[in-house]
Amino acid sequence: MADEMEEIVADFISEAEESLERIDPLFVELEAKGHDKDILHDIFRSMHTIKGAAGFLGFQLIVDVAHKAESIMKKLRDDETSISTALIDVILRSVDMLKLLIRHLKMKDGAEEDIRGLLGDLDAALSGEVATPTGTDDSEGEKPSVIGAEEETGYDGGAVPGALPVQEVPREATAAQTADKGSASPAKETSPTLRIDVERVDKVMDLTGEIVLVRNRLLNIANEFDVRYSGDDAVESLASTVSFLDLVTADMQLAVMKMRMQPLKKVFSKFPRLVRDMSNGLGKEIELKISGEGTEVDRTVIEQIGDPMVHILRNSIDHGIEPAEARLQKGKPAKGAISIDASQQGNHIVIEVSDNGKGIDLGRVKQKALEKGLVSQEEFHRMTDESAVNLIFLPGFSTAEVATQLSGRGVGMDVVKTNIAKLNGFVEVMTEKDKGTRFRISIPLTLAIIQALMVRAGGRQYAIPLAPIEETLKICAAEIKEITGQGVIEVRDSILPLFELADVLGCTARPGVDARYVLIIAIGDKKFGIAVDELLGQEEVVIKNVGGIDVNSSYIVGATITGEGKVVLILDLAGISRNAIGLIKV
Amino acid sequence: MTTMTAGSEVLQLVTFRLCDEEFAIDILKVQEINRMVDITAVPNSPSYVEGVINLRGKVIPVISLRRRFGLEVKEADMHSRIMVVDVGVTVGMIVDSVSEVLRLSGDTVEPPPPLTGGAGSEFIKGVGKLKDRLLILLDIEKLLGNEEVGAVAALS
Repeated sequence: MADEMEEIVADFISEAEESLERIDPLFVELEAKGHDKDILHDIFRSMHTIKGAAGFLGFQLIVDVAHKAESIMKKLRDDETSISTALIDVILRSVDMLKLLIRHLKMKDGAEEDIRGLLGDLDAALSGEVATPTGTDDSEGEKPSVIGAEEETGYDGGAVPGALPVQEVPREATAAQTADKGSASPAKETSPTLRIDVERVDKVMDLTGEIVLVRNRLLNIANEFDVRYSGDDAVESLASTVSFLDLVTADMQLAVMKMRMQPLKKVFSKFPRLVRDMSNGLGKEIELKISGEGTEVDRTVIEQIGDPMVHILRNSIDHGIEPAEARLQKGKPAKGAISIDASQQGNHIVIEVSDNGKGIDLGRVKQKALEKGLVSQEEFHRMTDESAVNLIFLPGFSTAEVATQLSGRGVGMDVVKTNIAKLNGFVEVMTEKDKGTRFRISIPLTLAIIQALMVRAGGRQYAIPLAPIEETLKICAAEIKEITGQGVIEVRDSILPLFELADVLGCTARPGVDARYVLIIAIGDKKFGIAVDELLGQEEVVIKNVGGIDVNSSYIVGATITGEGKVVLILDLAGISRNAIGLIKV
Repeated sequence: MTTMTAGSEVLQLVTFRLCDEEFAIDILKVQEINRMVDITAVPNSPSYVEGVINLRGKVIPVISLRRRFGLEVKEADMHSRIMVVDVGVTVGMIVDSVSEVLRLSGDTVEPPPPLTGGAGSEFIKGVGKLKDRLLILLDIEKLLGNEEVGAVAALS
């Protein structure tokens, strides 16, 4: 019984969270469009549903807040009062409060919020104290009982037709750019869905991986049979069965991967609200356009892409978009614009955040980097615009002092870069003075599969993610020089430190081998060489988490399983560069 | 949950050998018992972590119980087994050989004698008497639990 109740509460929580997340952008939309019955109705209905379910489960605080907010929505819908920023603000605050209350429920922390202040404000808004033309007329009729009676009829009357058109509203603005995607997603939303525990999906994924391995072994066996007994009917049918299995397995693997995919909408839906709140706070007018929100990515990406994007948006709002007067002086429309475009390009997801603000002042960026000692005098003079713009990603660059004095970005940009690097992605910046700035984030479609170079060192096989490898060289041992005990090699006029992978990993290097293979690695501003015994080739590998091993000290990001069922460790070059190599002054 | 020392409750145990001693752990903790397979060594891990293995598509760490207890190290032979146990994280333990599954009445189990100051005594839950044999009952949670194992089980 208790379990059942818990399940019901859990369902309520996730549904309420979803609808609150969904209505957030609607408010912003509403503010932009003015009176829009469909949107009003949609918000009203969400509030009503939350109120109803909360009432049933006895969450009184949620009922109180939702009830008041709902009443306001109803008045708006019935044209009894008109939309104002103040009114929207107070409703948004109640949405926030609902989110908070639901989070408490989720955490089971039993914490309570003081909602009296908010309720007071809501009441005030309800009775028309927020200056609205019809305010005075309504004040006397605003007894809760009356509203209670009215809302029931309102709800029953228009519940069904409101649902779909409202969903399409946010897309109208973006329809021009991504007509196909826009029309595809609403259909998806109406298709029946099933909530599944992530663990179960991951389990299916693991098992699928196992089937892939078995298939590989079967393929090998079938080939062997084919060689030995070619022409035999039984062998022929074995071969054709195995090749069918091959196809089905590949399809299944793809299907399972897709189970983990979710539309970027999940992340994007909170941005309209963020932009609205921030720009209102700064007294700027900014329009946010979002397109390609139907693009699907792995759920890990969904979880981690939010923060970096918030940083970028904040910077665009705070430093990018100029105040209205400044914009008019430059001959630009008073209203600033930020657009977010997401799309799939090959096996990458590309998300672009662009604004039409003042751009990054590269001269100042370079100057600042010089002052901070992040670049040398010589580098300062040689630096191209492209490399200068990347200075904003340097960790030391994001200090409060810089953010206020500098025209350009700088706040938390290193966070953006590191977070995106964690997703095996990269970020580029394009900026033009007074035209605007564009951030382009590219992330691999799935994090479960990466391109890796297979190497052998110290008698063991390792996989190295391909991304940070700049090139590979074959040298003979004699080419390795030593400077104060540190091995170095010369690559096209530059001297790079060289490390034996086997030494770094603490296994005994194979002695007396003359031919060495060197991988030139670039991580951040560090460049170094890693010597291995053998290069085994490039492969697409499936990353498996290694439960129970401290990945930080062991320099691995995970492991992968080869076709023969052997475990091969995937090395964490960033970790190696930081811990083992970072100690040596390059 | 079974408390090994309490009452006349019947315990179901899996017994295994390590250095001529017979050990036992709760059967419910044992997921499976495998022959030795190729173990991939993990750099910079504690010495008793032999490495990782592929358990039907899942990569799990394997520890050497001999090393864990500070016993003399022995090459794996045809009797060596990897016991896969589940204590929150799934971990493989290399033992010399797995003997049998047996039932033991709870009241034949005595608390560990106070003098066992030797290797790994903190992981002993009790000593089970069985005719002419003594079984050392291991507290597998303590053995593989977060603080004790350090690197193993730090992440799950």
